[in-house]
Amino acid sequence: MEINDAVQSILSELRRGVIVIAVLSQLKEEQYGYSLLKLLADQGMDIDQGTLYPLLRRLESQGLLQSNWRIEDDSHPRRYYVISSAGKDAFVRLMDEWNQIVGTVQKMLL
Amino acid sequence: MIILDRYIEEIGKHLPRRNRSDIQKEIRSTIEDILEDRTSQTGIPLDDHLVQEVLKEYGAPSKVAASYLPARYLIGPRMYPFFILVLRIVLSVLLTLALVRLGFALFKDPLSWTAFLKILGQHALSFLTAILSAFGNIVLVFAILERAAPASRFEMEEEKWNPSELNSEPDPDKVSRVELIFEVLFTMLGLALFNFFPGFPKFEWISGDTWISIPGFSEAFFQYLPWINVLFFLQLAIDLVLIREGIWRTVTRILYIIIESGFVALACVMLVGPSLIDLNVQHFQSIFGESSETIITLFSRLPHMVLIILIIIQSIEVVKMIWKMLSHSKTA
Repeated sequence: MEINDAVQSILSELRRGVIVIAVLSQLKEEQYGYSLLKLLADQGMDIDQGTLYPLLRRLESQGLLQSNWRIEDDSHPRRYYVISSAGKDAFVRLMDEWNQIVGTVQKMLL
Repeated sequence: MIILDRYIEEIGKHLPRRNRSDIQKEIRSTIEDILEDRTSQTGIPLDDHLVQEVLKEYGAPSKVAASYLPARYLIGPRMYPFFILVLRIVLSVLLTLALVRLGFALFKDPLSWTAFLKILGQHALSFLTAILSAFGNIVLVFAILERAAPASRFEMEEEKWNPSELNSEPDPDKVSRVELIFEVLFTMLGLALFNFFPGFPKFEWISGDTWISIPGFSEAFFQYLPWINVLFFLQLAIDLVLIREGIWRTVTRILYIIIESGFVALACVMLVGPSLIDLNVQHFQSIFGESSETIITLFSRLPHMVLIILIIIQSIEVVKMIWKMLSHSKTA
């Protein structure tokens, strides 16, 4: 049971780092929170709402995302997020790092 | 959707005022999106039952609000080692004092078992009260320090750290935070004792049939209390600024010199003024008889001795500070 908990904790740490890359990758086009959640889920990355929304706010406060409130198609107000130019630079660096990590770990696992 | 309004309102109660309405608006928008999605996918009309189902999945208001908040500490990981250090020292001092007091009370006269247990119980209770009070005060001081010196400042200093510093001379402008934390702690303790426990350090006990009383402060002492309070508060303010800044600047050195000089001046005034302790001559004569004169002289001179030591120490501090300021201005 304890080992199971430890594995769960490691997995959640592993996912936490990857989520930022996944989110930035999907925000080249504007998305509101729920549409982003579904977009990620459709591609196999299920993220808890309690993780995604605070993360979006944090990335915005760090200048990696931009947001604005809009009403479209007679719906309710929604906050639309999109990657900023600083976010695009950060994403390129994150991707480089990600590729390096994947390459290094794959070599270790062979 | 009254239930949704109430849910959003409940989340707001756990959020800081600054971002509250924005976060509430975002959560409402998300829940409305989920509801829209459910109704279109299942064909079930929007009703209270569906709203409740979605809210149940979304999570308890306190949990949802917590996900938007950073980790909050009363005493953070940076301050915790200092906190434990101070706690150990203060509790060790309290334990030593309690054991000394207990020793005096137990070995002065032959005691019956009942009297022995009674004294033991009273001292254990008194010690428990003292450690709880000390613990509470230390936590309070560190909680204030946690907010006065944010963790980010420590992190910045850690990033700047260079191993070559280990070989170099210590920076004369660098502040010793541990010393200042102790100073803050004892200043607050002094403020609390003088203002809320005016009987301090009066100490009474019964030895056989005799009631023995160690004198407390006189009325003359309490006339100086407003000045002591002003100086203590100024001391606290400058200490908190120094803990926050981590370095001595000319302005803080000048302010420190002014405050310490204030302490020296006040101590001089107290030294030439009326007695600071409440000496009951008759009480001492009734207990100690012929040797009472020596004891009365000792007690009446005690505040003078303490004040003279204080004046010497504070004057040395002022001179050291002036010297450091002048030598710094020469090298700068």
